[in-house]
Amino acid sequence: MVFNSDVFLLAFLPLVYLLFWTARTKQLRYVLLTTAGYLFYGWWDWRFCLLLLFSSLLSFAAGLAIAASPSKREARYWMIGAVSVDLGLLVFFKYFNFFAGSLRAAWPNVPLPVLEVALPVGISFYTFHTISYVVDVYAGRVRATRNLWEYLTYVNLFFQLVAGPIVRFRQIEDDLDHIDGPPHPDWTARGIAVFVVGLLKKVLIADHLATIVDPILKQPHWSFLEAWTAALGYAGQLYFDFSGYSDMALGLGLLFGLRIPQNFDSPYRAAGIQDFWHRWHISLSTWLRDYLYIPLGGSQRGTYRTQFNLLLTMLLGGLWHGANWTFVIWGAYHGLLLIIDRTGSGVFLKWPRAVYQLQTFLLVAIGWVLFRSDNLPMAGRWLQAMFQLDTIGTLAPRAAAWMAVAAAWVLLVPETWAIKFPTRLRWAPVYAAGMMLAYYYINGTESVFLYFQF
Amino acid sequence: MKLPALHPRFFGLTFLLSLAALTALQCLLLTVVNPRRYFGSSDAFPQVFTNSRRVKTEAFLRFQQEAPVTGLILGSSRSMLLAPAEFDRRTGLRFFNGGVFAGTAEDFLSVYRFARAQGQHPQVVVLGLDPAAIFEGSPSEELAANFALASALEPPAAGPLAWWWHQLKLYKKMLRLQSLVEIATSLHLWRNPPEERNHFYADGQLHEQTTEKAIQTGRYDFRRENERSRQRMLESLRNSKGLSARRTRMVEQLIQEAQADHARVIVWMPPLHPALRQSLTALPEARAADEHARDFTLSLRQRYAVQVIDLTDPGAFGGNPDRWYDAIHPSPQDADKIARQLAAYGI
Repeated sequence: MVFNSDVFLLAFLPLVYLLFWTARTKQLRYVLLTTAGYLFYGWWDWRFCLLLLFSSLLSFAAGLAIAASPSKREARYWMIGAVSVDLGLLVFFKYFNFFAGSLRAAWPNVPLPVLEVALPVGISFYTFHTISYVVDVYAGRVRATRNLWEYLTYVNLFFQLVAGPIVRFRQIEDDLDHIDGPPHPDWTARGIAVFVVGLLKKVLIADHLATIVDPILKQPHWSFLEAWTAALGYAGQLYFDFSGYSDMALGLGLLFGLRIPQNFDSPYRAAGIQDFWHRWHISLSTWLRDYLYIPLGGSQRGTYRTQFNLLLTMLLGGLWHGANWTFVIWGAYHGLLLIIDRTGSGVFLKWPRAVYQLQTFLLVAIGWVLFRSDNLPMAGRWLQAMFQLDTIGTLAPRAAAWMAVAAAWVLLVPETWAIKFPTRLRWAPVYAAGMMLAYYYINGTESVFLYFQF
Repeated sequence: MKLPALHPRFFGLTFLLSLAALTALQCLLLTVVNPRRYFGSSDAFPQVFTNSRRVKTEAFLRFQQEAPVTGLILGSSRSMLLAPAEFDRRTGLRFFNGGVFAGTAEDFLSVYRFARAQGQHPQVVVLGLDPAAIFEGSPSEELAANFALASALEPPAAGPLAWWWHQLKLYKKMLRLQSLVEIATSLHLWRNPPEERNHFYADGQLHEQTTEKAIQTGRYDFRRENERSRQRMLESLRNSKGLSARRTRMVEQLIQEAQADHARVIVWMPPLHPALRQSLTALPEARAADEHARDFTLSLRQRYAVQVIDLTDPGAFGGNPDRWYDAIHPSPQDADKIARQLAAYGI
């Protein structure tokens, strides 16, 4: 089930919303949101619900075991055990064939089978949820909940289950504790507004940019302008698609009385790659910082170790996105950019800010070529076309128009969470008109969110 | 536990009511203005496209009231100019032209079944089969919107509620930006009424009024129209996704059903302007697509013992392509020659 589908908008959401606010007790609301999460998730393939349930129960039990451990040492065993199982499942389902294929390519005689396993939707996201919970309980940053339904609600929130944002238990613990409260004044209005804007970003801009980018990338060869159109168009598509999804998750959270943290902060206005990662997929970059980079030593162990930590964190961050060498290299590319940005920040910061922003955006857009390519040869051809001036080609007016719209939005419109949406009653019809406009583009079409594949 | 505050509820309710009101308003406008004639409610405002499927089903219902329909012409716009009267004269039967704009295999089968569902028993079915009718492609929205034809094609499962369910789905489908543009266009045309572009005779034959008037006043640019449609046709052949298994099966189904009803089926291949035929020889992809369709059509002769008449060459019926509307639509004079030729082949 996706947010921009009839079954979600016309049946699932209204029904769950109605039942949620009709339910009076905390426990009933937990049960309802958990059930809704499994229904939403099971819509793809009900069998994956079992894996999700196993992962949830394991981390819940590990949390309790850690809390009950008489010594830090025993708690540590529980934490390592639970994280290992979670990571083991992720590696098995997402990376087994990738590693097996890569090893076979290097050593053809190694007898490694190719497994016919389907990738469970959102496994990368909910694994990070459960890991963060177990580690936080171990580190004493969060209490281990004794209420199973509360925990299941946290892991299975349908609006962040399959494509984030990656919410930590401590970030919504307070709201979960007060989930039986009445609807907060303004949250309904703000939730609706944020959801509608997110939906419009997806269906109005991202999906139109996709109709420009996808046909170009189906061609066997690209001219200079086509290659750049595809790269810049995809940069826009990815941002509007994913930030649109995150906005919708945020809006839905507010409708159910839960404040989901923001995931984007106008990333294409970033000055510097470090700044970019403070603004793009914030919930992932902060997760990687807190659960990988800092445990590796962060920036506290000298320049070379810091650079190594950065490179390793970004490389694994790249691999998190998908089992493909393109993601590994994309991660390494960003790791290198971060090192260069840190090292040369003294120089870069003296540049005019607009130049620094443009440089950042272009470097990020070049990185998206790796991210979008199906394989390394495709990335190579695409990058080559972007820097080869022998075939200039032409820029289609429609492509130029949509990219101008996307650029204007990126430059002029604040990030959705930062907009102070009016919450007076008279604005309800305006938001309804926005919803209607979005529905015009949804009606009769099928479009999934890009981040569902991760 | 405290009672929920009123404000959030009111906001949500107002939002939902506003959505409902906007939806209802659009549905009301679609019903009253009816720009595509999908809804049987109103003809008060001009249509933005000729809904030939609706025109033909309504015309058929009127036509059959006078006397039984014993011959049926099926096909696309290239069959719509065929005069049923020509067939009547030579066969002694009573023909109705059931051709529709952009007609495809599903249209042919549904129109035939629709005629049968009205209690008519065509003894002869003349099917104009052009490549686009059997190539892979999206089903016609106009057909899906026509309850009589759509349910003839696929009997609805919803029983007595079938019509209501169909209407509900249709209104939902029309919730799109294009509908608003069409409503506005129709209202504009209502204020500035245009001349009627197409006229349909009682027997379903099409008379292209605007084109004929332009030809008579010397304003019709034959060369330009020919060139435009030639390019369009080549483009569609080049981009064709090949024969559609679903559509070819429907053509076969139509033949089998007609034969089971003891009707004779005559399949004919509509003519192409010599310039278009010439262009096809130079474009291997387009030619291959055309030949696939042609092979399928010719194979019907052996497989179903039907008459298959190849009129793709205007010379086959003594046509004068210089006066054609464009590269694929012959003039009414040539359409009459085609009708006579088809009759001569043994009707």
